[in-house]
Amino acid sequence: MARSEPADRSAAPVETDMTRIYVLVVIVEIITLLALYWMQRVFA
Amino acid sequence: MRWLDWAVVVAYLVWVVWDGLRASKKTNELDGYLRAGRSLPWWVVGLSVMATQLSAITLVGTTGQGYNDGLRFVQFYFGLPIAMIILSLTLVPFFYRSGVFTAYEYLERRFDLKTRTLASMAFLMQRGLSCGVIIAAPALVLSIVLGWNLTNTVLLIGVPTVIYTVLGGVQAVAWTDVKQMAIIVGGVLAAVIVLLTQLPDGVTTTAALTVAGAAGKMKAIDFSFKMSETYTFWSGIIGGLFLSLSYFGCDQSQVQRYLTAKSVDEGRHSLLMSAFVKIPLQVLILMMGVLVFVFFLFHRAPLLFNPADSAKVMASDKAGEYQALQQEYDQKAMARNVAATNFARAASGADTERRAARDAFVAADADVKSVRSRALGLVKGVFGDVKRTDVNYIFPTFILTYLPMGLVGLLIAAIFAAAMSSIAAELNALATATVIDFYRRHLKPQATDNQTLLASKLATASWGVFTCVVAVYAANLGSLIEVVNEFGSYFYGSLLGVFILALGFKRSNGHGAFFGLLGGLATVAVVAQWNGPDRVHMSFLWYNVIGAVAVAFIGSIVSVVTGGNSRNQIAAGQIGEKA
Repeated sequence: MARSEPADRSAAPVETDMTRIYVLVVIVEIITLLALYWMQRVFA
Repeated sequence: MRWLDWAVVVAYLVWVVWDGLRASKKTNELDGYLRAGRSLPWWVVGLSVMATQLSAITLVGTTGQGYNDGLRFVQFYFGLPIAMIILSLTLVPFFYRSGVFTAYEYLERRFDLKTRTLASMAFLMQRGLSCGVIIAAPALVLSIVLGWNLTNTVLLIGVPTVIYTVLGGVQAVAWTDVKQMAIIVGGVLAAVIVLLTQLPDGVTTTAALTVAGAAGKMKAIDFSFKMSETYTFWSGIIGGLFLSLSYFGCDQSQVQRYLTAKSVDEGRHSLLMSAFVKIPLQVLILMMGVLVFVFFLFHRAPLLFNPADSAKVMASDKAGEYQALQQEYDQKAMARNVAATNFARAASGADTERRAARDAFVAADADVKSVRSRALGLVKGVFGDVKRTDVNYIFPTFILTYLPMGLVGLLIAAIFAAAMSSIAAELNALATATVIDFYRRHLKPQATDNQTLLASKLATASWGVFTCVVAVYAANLGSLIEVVNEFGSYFYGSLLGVFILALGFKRSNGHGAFFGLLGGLATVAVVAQWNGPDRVHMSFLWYNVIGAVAVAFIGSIVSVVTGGNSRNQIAAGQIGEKA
């Protein structure tokens, strides 16, 4: 095995719940797609 | 280029090397050199992730695609935000907690050595060659439009990049990426502003976009389900999802970026930055191409944008035909100029007048396209290359012909920055995979950290030399952006398939993964061989899906036939297991 350094788990910061950011990513993508579609219709 | 432009480019090259080295700390330690000691904040890693993906091919080729085909290329990125969420939930925390240096290290823990070695080798082959193409693209374009020698141009891009990557390691790469992204975005914004201010009197931005829309340039989304169409909503959201999962999850040049983050959360944030910003940034770059198209409606554009192609046709027996096309083009372009001006001014007028002006413009634009298409046909015939286009020369021609002094230098520096940021990250990743997966695993398992560090620097320099040599030979491969993406797609789906097998199929074993990967690569090779207009015609984006599914399918069957997996192996590699 390669001698990779094991992670120091005792010092690892607590992971936060990122569900809200994931939902925000999806919302922003949907808005972006709608904006592109709107632009396509307006300038067609 | 005038003296101020040269000064800007030279200042950029000196600064980027100096700044890369200044920002590097603890690069005399292996972990500092290859993983930045896991010390980088999310925004640095996030910008580095974006800079790595945004190569000069993206900047120059995408602008050309915006000019030729409008916004439709943006669909390629539709799967990316979803991929970032999936990776943030799965591979990012898993790699980070595992403490690995390379993505392929994990495959040995989960499967066996042969799977790790094959996956790492597939990465080295694919990235080594594509890194050469990534240098070749801007080098070729700059050598032709600036009249430089190709080898010198390759060296001008390659040598400074190799210097700061060898000496500063991953930290130099990441910190220079931050500045390079600033130069790229600053250059693009400056070009967009110039393009908007150069519109003729009486032509508003809205009118300009209406004209572009009439020429089909504002069509960003195509919902048709045609496998042969390269960029549709479906190929983008499905094929693009698989490509993004593979590129950001299984490609060491990206995995190494988020392994440098301070924590799992910071690694996740760095990827989610792309999820938010990537599509708008691509729209901006494509829109710049659309505005260049509008600009050339009102200003004289050459028949073909690659002066070397024109010169070669003029030196061939097709010279007479080409000259006739040139005369026809001059007339048609003038007619289109008038039609575009009339349409832009009538865009907010009465409906009937607007429709008549629109129809006249659409017809005039079709005439110009037809002449350009015939001229490109002559070029293809003379070169014997059916894929040859001038798409990568459109933006540099605009920069060098119409931008003011100083801004030309900034945009040329932006092309350098885009090239160098991608190349540096890839050299860094190629060296890491070479040293961690081969040197310290196969050649010298007892190597000390200092010996491994020295090997890493030598490997970086060697890959630098190799990619520069490939670049010189790869310089004539048609539309380079598609060449790179297409070549990557031969490998990406299959690599992703191995990781899907590892994380999603509990009973899969080393034999399954190894033969599944070989089977996936072979399946994509066969499909690619049969892909053509008169056979099974499909966009290369679907190769990612085919490769991943083939590996998962073949790997599962082989695993079952060879007795499945032991509980211990499963525990070593399952997601959520803090290895």
